[in-house]
Amino acid sequence: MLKDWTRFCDLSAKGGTMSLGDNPLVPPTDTGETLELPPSRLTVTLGFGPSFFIKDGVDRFGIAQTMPLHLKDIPRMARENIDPGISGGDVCLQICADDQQVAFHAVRNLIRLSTGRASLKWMQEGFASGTPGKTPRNLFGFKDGTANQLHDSAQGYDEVVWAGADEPAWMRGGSYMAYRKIQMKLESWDRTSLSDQEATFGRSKVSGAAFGAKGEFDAVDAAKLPEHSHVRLAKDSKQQIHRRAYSYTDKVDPRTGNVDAGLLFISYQRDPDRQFVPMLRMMQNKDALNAYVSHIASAMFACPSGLQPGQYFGQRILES
Amino acid sequence: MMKKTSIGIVTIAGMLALSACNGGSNNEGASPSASSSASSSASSSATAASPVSSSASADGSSAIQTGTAQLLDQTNQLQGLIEKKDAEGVKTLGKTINETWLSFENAVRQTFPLEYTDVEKYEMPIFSASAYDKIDFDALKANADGLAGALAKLQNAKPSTASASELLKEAVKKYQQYVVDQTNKLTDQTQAFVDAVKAGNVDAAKAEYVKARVYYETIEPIAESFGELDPKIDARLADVDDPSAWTGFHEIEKALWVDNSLAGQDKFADQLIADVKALQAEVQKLELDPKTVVAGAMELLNEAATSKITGEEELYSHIDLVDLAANVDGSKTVYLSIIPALNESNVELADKLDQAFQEMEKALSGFIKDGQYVAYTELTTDQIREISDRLSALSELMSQTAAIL
Repeated sequence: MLKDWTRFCDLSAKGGTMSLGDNPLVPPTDTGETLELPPSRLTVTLGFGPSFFIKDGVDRFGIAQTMPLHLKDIPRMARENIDPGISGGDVCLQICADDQQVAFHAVRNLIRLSTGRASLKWMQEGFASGTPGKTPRNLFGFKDGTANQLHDSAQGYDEVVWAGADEPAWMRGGSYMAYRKIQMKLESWDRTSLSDQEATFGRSKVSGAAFGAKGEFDAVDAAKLPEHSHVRLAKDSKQQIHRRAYSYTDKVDPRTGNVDAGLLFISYQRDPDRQFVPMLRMMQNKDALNAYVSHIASAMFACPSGLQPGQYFGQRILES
Repeated sequence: MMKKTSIGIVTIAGMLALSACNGGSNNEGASPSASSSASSSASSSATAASPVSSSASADGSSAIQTGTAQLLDQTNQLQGLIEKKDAEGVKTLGKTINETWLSFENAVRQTFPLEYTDVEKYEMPIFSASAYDKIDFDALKANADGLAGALAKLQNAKPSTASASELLKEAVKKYQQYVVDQTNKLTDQTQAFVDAVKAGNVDAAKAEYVKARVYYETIEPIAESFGELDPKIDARLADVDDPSAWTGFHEIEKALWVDNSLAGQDKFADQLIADVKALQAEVQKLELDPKTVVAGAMELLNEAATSKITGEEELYSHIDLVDLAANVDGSKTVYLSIIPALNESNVELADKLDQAFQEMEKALSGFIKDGQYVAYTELTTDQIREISDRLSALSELMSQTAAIL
């Protein structure tokens, strides 16, 4: 399956499709909806969950010894409302493209190629939009991911994002992906005054500048931020993570008429135990944003480093 | 309000998480798959994982000789136990027989596909019976006798030299006979059902209903090919334009399970048996071609994967698993008949299908209680999902079989 996936991803990212097949009596190999469409910057990121290595104490694939050092489910947090049905999983695929039809084509065909060998547990669509070179905004209207700029260098990525030399060989240069689906109470947020919204984050809504600073990327003086503001807590944690958030919109809550929408928090980091989990714990306990959000899904995956030509996803795990 | 020319980065992310299927990773070689364990028999070279090609069959044919002799011996023992009505003995031996058969069936399928189908036809019900808590000794005796006969034929079998088109013709003929047999049984069983309905006996009618449905569901696509008859016999309330014109099995099903009364059902019972007899008459005249047969196998699995797995087919009696198993069975019959042709063009596909059917049947047999499939409403979402996943795997493979045409 991982070999088939690799072949498909390689082809699709170049804008190709599998052949529709020359035998009209059997189903076409490719589903066809991207014929005539460009690759649209399609990317596929693969991650392995803790249960891929050991599930219920069983080493199903004989690979437990290759489990990354920090790969475990995110522990229970205060105030969370996690639905196990849309959390976790053995394997995760993050598929991104500029065109939803191209992205879904990849999702759909990767599912087809896994039939009988893997079973779909959950699926989540999201979107992000912004002007190139500027930090995209989340559905609260605030810039999301400003602090990524702090480690925007080769050394910064080594320190913050890429997994270290103490990891199993396949994981070195890979990264841990933390995922939280965070429902945002948009209706109450939209009835909150601008000053309260800004105090909740500790940043100006329009400019993105932290309280006491002028520009978005100016140095943050934590002391000038409200004690429980989101950015203050992030700074207090003294840790960095690489944010890659998307927004989502789902359905209507039939009881309240409120829209189910929010943030697909995704962050990449070198060591979630040190960087991510303590930060999350502090946020869950203190963050002023908690009045407006609820964490409803959670997962942690280990994403291997990029492939060399001829390799397939997970090869260095399964053939080690 | 909205700027139409936003050139920004519109990145759309799809995230999905998957769970690995247990025992499904057999081509990765990483995990021991839940396939057959070679029994005490002499050959371990012909288990499911290592197909023996028919050209290099020195190993294969001796494995077939040894295996067949052993299986025949066990079948004779089984006949003795059936004579003595030894339920426990029959169950244990049923499992042993299945292990023996699994240890060399791949070799048989590739060398003697026609004989293989016969053995499989009788062997499977014997194995299934070993999972039941109640044994139907009469049915079992018929299968044991059939198996003994099929094995005797296998012992004297010569490799087939028929051409591809002859093999297909043979497959169609075989399947056509099956359709005729099933339709005859359907007619008899529907008669018994109708009799119970007209006698006003709700309990008896419920029991006969379940039995009759099986025969319809094994040949559903064929029945559907006779335009008007299928809706008259098998329509659900949601299918009909005018609810007052609704007839057939499901109309009476509703009376039985919802109203718990057969009042006013006589005319529906009369109509049902008349329609089923009309179907029987049509089937006698039927001339099938290979394309229809193969497409029918796929349709059966699609039926199972859409209306049965969702519990929509048997909305009142909730015997959807009975129908689903019958769909799978009907589909397997097609697979068994086309094995000779599959061997010619795609042995690997035959191997995978064989494995997928085994896993499907094994999964389904876990839902039999007191000799009957449990009600759909008793299944948990996880259990339904398990069946659905197996069905998907099977369907995916079956969708490739048309390549033999």
